Amino acid sequence: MEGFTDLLQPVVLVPWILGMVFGVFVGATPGLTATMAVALIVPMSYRLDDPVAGLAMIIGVSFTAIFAGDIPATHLRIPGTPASAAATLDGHELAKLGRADHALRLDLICSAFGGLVGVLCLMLVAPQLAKFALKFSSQEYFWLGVCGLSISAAVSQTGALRGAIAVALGMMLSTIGVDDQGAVRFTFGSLDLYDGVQLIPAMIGLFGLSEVLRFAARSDDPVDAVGASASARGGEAPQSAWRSVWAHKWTAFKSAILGTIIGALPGAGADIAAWGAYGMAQRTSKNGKRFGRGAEEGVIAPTSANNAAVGGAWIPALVFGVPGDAVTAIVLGAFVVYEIVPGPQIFERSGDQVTAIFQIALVTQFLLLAAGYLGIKAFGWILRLPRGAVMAAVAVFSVVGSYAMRDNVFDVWIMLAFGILGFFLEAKRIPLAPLILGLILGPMIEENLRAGLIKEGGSIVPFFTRPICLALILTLAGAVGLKPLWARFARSG
Amino acid sequence: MAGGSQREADGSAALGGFLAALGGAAIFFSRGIEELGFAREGDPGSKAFPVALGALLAVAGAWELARRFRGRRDGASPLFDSAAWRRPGTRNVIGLGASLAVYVWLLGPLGFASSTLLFCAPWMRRFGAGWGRPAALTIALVVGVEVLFAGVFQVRLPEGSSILAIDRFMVNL
Repeated sequence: MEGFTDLLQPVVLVPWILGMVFGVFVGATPGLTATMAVALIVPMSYRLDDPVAGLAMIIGVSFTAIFAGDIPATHLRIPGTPASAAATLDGHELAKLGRADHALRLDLICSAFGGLVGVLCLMLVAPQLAKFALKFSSQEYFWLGVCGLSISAAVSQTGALRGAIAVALGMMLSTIGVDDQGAVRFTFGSLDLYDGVQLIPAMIGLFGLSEVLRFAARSDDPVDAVGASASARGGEAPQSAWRSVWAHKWTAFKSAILGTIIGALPGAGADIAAWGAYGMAQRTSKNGKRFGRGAEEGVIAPTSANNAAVGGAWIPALVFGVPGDAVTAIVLGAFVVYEIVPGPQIFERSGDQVTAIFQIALVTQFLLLAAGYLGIKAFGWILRLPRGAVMAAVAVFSVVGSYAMRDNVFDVWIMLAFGILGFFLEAKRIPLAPLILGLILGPMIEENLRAGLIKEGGSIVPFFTRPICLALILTLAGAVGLKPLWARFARSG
Repeated sequence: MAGGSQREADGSAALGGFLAALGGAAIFFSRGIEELGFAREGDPGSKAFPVALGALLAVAGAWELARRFRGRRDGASPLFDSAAWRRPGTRNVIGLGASLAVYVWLLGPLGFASSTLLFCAPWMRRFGAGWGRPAALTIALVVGVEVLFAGVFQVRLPEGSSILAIDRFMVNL
């Protein structure tokens, strides 16, 4: 209880709410993603005196930006984040019927509810899973990393092969620096590269700066308004949204549970969770034929699932150090800077911080209701901002954010290089999320492969015969085999 | 649009070349990785992983190039689309990339505020209208970032060697 009171101190609450407002702004701006919002907030959070305030900022943004992405999806049919794509279908249809605010209120309530379910599942499952994970050895960690990367490549929207190329690229880049045996690799004499590629500048470049370059590439017309055709706002009472959610409470609950499970699969993410829940709701609803034409369940299901997936993705991230998606990967990187080392011993080594994370994530769901309502109201103002100014601000924040990590201009060059790389790769339909996961999980896979081989005198056999390894291999085969199911979810949308 | 889709189906020469070059470079430079003599039985060593990944990337690049050449042989589209370089979007990207590089380089001598003003105002002008609003927005952005990062978060934003030298000169005067 004392922990909750600590969270309500101004020194924590003010940056937390400011972070959430920032998340609303970035998520609601078409073209700016939740990943970018989290990547840009992390350097700021490090500068706060109170580490709990920094954690609150990061966690607040990660949940808020996913919801905020649904705002332009509803009004303009432009998903603010990939996780909002499924909510676009019926949300925008409702908006065309003049019920945009009603759709967004449904969305907001379900996002907070889904987030709450995801976090409660995280609190229940993660400690138990951590006890089980104590049985894991190098071989199991190797396969966990492989599972994460394989699934993220398999579910890539541009195809498994392109996903695999992204993974290989990320892993290749992760070999830069001094390895765990002390060998120096690909530093070309630069001391700045001894610690490897700094994750946060790389992510700011990939997800922030590359978007600015994409904007420049699209801007054949120099005056690019964010959107002038926002749909008419509805005049329904806010209570009607609560009544609608109550009427479809089981859809919301089932979607949140499904979202948590899909989110917890390493390599899957909020976007797949949203499509999965949409497909399930469509098949199980009596009004299945109304989906895609303004069905309330078509908003409730994906929005409950996408925020639930955020909590779900933290389960493997905290217990095994295997992030479920790019947003969680950044959050995980940030946790490490706060000396929260993911792994089975996280609850013993960093118990207080983990408790704080859980409490922050829970309270964030309630704050989301207020921040999200503000976002719904402020969207008209965001639409009036000149797009060029927003993008110039993103470029400047990318530069300052990457510099602020270590007060080092070299990190800004890293950010710039990754921005150009991200722009090039996306133009060639190479997805960026598997690249980031490769960058993070590459060292884990290599170190555990080598450690496992050394322990067994070079024998690869235990990698395939240990019981948990076998279970992980079967899980991997099953998850990759389920790929047609993901495709079916997407098609059903 | 159809041409673009066709090209995507045929593979990309630029992507293939990039992957093949990166993979080749990784294998080439892996030769310089020193094993520190701690090698124990069964350890594949520090070179193994980069070499394996480099080979994988090189093969992926070669495969992408092969698809591209096969598509070209079938008469689907030219290997390189020279018209792409003349598109305003391409020119924007090259211009923005170059000015970002100059901006980062100028952070050292000019500091954050001056280099940001020099970078932002023209780009806001390019993607907006007139000079008045871009100039006002740029100044607001610089002040906002200075207040947020330097004031609240205590980040030492680059002050600029030239600016500091001028400051010292003025003080000495």
